[in-house]
Amino acid sequence: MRKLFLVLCTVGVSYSADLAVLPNGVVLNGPKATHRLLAEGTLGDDQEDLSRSVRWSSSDTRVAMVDAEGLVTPVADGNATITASTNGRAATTSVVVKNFKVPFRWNFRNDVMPVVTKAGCNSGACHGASAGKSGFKLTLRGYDPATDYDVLTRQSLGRRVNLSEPAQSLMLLKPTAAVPHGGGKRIETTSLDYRIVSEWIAEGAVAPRDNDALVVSLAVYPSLATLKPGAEQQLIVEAKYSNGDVRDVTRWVKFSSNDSGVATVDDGGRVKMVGHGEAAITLWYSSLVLYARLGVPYGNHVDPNIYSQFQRHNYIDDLVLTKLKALHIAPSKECDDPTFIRRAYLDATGILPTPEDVEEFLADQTPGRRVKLIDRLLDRDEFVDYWAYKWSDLLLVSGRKLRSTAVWSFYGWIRDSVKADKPWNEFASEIFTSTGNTRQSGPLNYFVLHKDPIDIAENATEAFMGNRITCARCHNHPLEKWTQMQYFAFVNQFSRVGLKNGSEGGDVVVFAKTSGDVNHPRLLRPLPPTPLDGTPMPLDSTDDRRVPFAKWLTSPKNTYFARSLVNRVWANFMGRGLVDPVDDVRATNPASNEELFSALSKDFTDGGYSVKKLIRTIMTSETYQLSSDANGTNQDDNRFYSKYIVKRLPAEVLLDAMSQVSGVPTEFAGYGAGVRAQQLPDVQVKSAFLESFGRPKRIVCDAGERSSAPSIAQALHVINGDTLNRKLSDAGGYPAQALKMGLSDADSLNHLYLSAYARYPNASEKEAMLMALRKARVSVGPIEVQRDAHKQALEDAMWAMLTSKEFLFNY
Amino acid sequence: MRPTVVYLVVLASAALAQQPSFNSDVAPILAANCLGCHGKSSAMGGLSLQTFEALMKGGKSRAVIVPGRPEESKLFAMISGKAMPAMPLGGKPLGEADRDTIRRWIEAGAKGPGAGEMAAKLAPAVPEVKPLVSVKPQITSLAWSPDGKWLAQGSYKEVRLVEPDSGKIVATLSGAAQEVRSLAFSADGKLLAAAGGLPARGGEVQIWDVAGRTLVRTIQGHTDCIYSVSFLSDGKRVVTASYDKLLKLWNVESGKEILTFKDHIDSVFALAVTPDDKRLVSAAADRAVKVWDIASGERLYSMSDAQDGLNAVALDPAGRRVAAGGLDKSIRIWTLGEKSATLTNSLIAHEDAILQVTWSPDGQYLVSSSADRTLKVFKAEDLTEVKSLSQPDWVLALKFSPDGRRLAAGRFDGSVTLFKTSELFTGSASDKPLVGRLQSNSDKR
Repeated sequence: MRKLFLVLCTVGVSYSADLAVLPNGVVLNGPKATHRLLAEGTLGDDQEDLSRSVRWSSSDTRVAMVDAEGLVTPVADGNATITASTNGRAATTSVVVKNFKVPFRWNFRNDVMPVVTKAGCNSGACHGASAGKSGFKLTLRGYDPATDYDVLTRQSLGRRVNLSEPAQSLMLLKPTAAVPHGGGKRIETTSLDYRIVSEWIAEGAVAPRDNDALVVSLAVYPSLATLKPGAEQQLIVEAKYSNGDVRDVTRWVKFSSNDSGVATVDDGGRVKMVGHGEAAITLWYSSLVLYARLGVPYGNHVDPNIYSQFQRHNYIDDLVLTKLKALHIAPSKECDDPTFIRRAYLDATGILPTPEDVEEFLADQTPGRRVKLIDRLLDRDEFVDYWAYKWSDLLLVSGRKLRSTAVWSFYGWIRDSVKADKPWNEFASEIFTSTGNTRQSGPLNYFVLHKDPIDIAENATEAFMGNRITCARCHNHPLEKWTQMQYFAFVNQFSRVGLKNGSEGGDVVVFAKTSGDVNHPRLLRPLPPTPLDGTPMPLDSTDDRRVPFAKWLTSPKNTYFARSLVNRVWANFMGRGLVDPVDDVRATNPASNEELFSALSKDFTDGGYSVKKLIRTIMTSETYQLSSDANGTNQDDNRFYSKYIVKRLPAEVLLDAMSQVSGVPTEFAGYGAGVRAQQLPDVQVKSAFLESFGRPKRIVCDAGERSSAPSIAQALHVINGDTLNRKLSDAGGYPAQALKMGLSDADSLNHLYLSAYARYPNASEKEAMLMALRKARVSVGPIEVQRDAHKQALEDAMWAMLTSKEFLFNY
Repeated sequence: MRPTVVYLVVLASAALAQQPSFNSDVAPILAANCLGCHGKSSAMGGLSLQTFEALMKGGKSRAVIVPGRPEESKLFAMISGKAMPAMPLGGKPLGEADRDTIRRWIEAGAKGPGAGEMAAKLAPAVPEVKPLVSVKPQITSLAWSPDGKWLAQGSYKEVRLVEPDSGKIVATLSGAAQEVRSLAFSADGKLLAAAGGLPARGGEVQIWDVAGRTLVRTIQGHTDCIYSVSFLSDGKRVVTASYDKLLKLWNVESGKEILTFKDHIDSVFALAVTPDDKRLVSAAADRAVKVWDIASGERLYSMSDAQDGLNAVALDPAGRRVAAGGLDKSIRIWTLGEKSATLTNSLIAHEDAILQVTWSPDGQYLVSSSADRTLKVFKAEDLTEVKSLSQPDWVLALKFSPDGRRLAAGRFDGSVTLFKTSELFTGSASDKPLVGRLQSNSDKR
């Protein structure tokens, strides 16, 4: 595949057509093996599936035959070359046929189960439901072949398989609708599927064996392609087995498209491009998953100069630009300095720049001013507050289950870690390798929040790998590669976390127990503790089982670890994760720019897991500094980062911003004056404002806990809620202070615009606002009345500014 | 436009008035409604509707078509609900128009395909698939004659009468639809009921005259195959349990249904009748054991202690205690009362699903078989394990001889073993068959 793309790149410029046969080299092992081939033509940047229009031929039809659509079948042991030719162009692939004469029998696990699964018999809506259907229950998508074998061949006195008269087996009569079937006709009697199942029965319905070859990996052809609008592309899926075999399993793969507005896919893996953009076609076979990415450029004509003039600051810009080029999307222009300073402050530190900060920055005209600003921000205490708050969300720090001392201990550890820019791998490791007293050692509170091994296992994968493994508790994960066996071997790593009361009230001591196991629910025995795809630990070892987990979790080999964190940080700045939702980094949820995601994750890993460095790389990129204004080509784009994605300020940031601009801090019961919302260690602190704006409850690890959805309550809070109005009318508030200091309306206006929007008011705004302020003034009556009217007018002006979109949003 | 419509109407009425043709009118109706059960290798009641010839030949008892006389034709009587059981069995009755077509076709002489016309192919497209290995059909059921002289073995499409001491097959009673899933002798030993049917299509009970080795009657009913059959002590009624969630009481003489016991919400796999013929106990995939009043068909009460579907139920000789087992690997024993039962004992007895449970005739022991390939013997009073015997395959059928001296076990692999109970109930740990394996017909293959 790679080679093909090299070819693609080199011929791109000259627009000469090229042809290639995929895959390169095929082995047909045994008399029943077949393999489909693809003929892919490339013209310019585009690729085209020519498999149905080329002429296929075999160099030796005594060894292998090929039909008009590129399906290769074996004839006898030997080697042959298959050629695809069209219009004077030709391409070849080699075929090796072996073991043609070796007696062959269909295998339950590797031949029959794929048919059953592809036909949908064991889907969640049919016999794979936990209660089965009509008394017939299979394991969901065939996760347990041994059980399915008994159910199919033996249960209910051999009801479903008839060895004496194979065709009379209910297992065949039902799916062919020879007898009435609630699920209708699923299999044709003339199909290969029927032949496999019926011959397997005729061969005595041989049981699955422990030494059956297992599928270890999948490959898809093409894995990446740029196609023409309306084009069709056949996908070919190969499975590699533990015995080294590689087989074409396309026929039994379940296909689905993640964006049916871009591409649709039928049951046989034939993709049709129905729109513009990029779609991932997800493949599921035998509990393994993979995807192919197929795209069609938008119909825009983008001036090549736009790309060549794009200011590239680092690799982020290179990789974003490559994607935008491929899709014919033009990036928006760079945002202006006022927009940048406000954006950078909010995204990195959760506060607004003060008018002085803004004026100083706007006055600086040196080329490196943005980078200097970024570096200053990353050193601020508010940066520490903001990210400590974020990771407290992640780790569910809350007084709901923890005592106040414990909350402070946990939060303090997180904050210290952020302040020191503790490498993310060390941060995670400390949680899973510490022992002792929860008051002295903050991370131990993790085990007070999560006491059940299942809870620990699921939370740890969600928090640090962005992986939701819960499905695998009851059956193999349908969207991930994790199996139920792996799940319970994984859970068993956390079965020996001991908790006991400490010396002082409320203290908890966490220690590693030397006994205790979690049983697999069906096998009723514990499995050796194993970090998902890691190395098992002997069941009889008394070492702390969490330690190998921590090693595996933070190993550079565990790419989920880096990807999960990178995605969270990226989404913080860019408005949308490279993978979306931000905490669903599963194998079947492709990134919108995989090359960029990989590069960032690798950079993060290689750079010693420094979160601060990652933030700096993102913020200094040109991509981060693009305007949120769309151009003619990127109106609909919210996936490829051709413009900045506008976002509402998070609850705590918004409240703190209101406090900052009005000059009146918010009081939180039990906390000292001036403590900002983002400095609270605990989400149990009461605040109707924060709750209505979506402060997470920190009960389950789920980015969806923090809501950014608009609500009536929010509108009411902003428009006539106490929070804002009290701040505006407060004696210490800006209107009162401005009057006390005798500031002119023009000065106040400048101050307020800089403070709320990080910019000066423009001429028309100034004129309108000053006019409005003047009109509201009373020029007669006692001085107090005049002053009150003036104050009221200033309050109204501020109210209008702080309820505007420009204030509530980051753009 | 109008003339065309008129023309079409005229044509249509002309077609209506015409005699229906077998190929184009009758055959499609039969294919759509009847062939599931009356097809090539699943000719229930001996009736195949595979071809015109087979249709005219009729079923086991007699012709089903009397040309020119629809009212006397059994097929027409059954599809119009005038003869029982109404056809299609358990399915949706034929539409008025279809019935009329068949009526008019018989009226007009029930003519076959015309000269030079190919006979319509009626069979559902079930391909021919032959076993590629020699098949030794599973032993799905066993029954001892009351005098202990015969051991009946139910297998694929046949029942073998075996002399237990010599292992000699003295008769093969063939003709069952498929697997014989349950066997029962009448109390006087004269009749043998062999129950089974076609999965997902219908049940049948063949009533055999044991002495004459002749089929007396075939009772057809249920919409799925039958998993358990038992005679009442009068020998005049049998009760059946089916995958179709129902139990039914039948008159053996007439073959007619007397009662339906309806309350289970999943397949019923096992039943037992109290010695006084008053009560029926059933166990089903819905996890429930139910106790019924046989006279009224009323469900008296249910025992819902099991955690998963049940495969087996057995009454002690006195008819007071019930043992049941199934997918939750546990044996439970209840004592029956008037209005309810009391769970007296329960034990996770095996490592996989329990397939059969049976009481020793003296009521002292329980024996169970399981998918974990063991047979286990328990003391009935407290379920202490007396012995565990590993088995070469699943034991699907398990029956004590009437004198209690022997225990017959029939397996998925087609083998049958007789155990001496005197050695089973002692603690000696021998896994070997204590009497020996019986020869069976298919061993010769």
